[in-house]
Amino acid sequence: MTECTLLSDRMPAILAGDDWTEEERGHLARCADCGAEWALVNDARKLGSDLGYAPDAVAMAAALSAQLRDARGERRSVRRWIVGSALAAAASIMLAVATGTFRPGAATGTQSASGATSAAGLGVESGFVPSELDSLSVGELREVLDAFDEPLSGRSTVGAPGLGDLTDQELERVLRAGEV
Amino acid sequence: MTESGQGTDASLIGAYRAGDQRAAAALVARHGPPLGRYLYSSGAGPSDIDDFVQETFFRAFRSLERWRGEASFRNWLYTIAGNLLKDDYRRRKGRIMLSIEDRDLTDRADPAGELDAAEADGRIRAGLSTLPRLQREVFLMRVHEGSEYADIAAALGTTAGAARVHYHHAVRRLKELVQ
Repeated sequence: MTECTLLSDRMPAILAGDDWTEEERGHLARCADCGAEWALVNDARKLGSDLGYAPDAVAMAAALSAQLRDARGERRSVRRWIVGSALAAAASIMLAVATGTFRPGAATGTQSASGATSAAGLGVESGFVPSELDSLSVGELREVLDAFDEPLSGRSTVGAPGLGDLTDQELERVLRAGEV
Repeated sequence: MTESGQGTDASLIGAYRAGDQRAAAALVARHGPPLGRYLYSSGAGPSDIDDFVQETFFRAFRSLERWRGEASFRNWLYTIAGNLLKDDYRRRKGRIMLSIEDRDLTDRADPAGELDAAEADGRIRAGLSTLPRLQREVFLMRVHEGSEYADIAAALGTTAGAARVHYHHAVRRLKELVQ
């Protein structure tokens, strides 16, 4: 590394407040190239100092605070809009699925329609009330209900006629009916 | 050097992030004037400096979590300001605006000397505007701040060796252009 390069590297530190060594000072006095460079960096360091620029720090900090609040508000609005749209879309899909109007494809739609039909059929059957009961009085209905309540085990099968009780002709008829 | 008085940059940034608005004002008061000089040296018109300084602080405060202290806060601000000028340059489609006419020159006893200074000022700014961006930024960080190559490298995302090469190239080019 040449003496000029070393001196060049030292110049910013000197501008910032360091002192030249005697040796460096001597080189600077002898070397025109280093002298020109020293003049250049001195002039460059002074750039803009004539402007006397000094912002009103308190006013600028307040303006920055408002600017940052607006920027955060904008960012939050955009985020809220995205999240809101996503939630609305999800809610619509859930509602459509729940009400059976969600038809992602034709095949699924057919399956869904037939499923709805059988469910309706099942509803009719489960809710069916025999029309003959309509004409019965409360007392008659109670009798019918009591009869349903009587357990099967409560009805004695003892004494019911068996095959051994049948005559030969009766037995022949029963067996012929079983063959049919 | 730059951190006397109201605490270090790191402590002010910590206070600001904790909600202390006075810390923001302290950071602007500390770094605003050199940032203005840096922007002017980099080619910004004097009437635009206040807007550029505010925008630089806005961008810095908005992304303070990105400043990890590897580079000095001021050099980090300079890098943001450099990006801002680059964006502005692109917006204006490459037209460089170097105006010295609208400077608020103070009354001087030596008008001839002032004129010489203004000419030197203009020549150096014109020279700086012709440098590649990295060369210009390394040169200004060195000359304005006396920053070490390692700090400049951390701010600009390069190596200390590369920063040193950029600096010496910048000096050589400027010497040719200014003399």
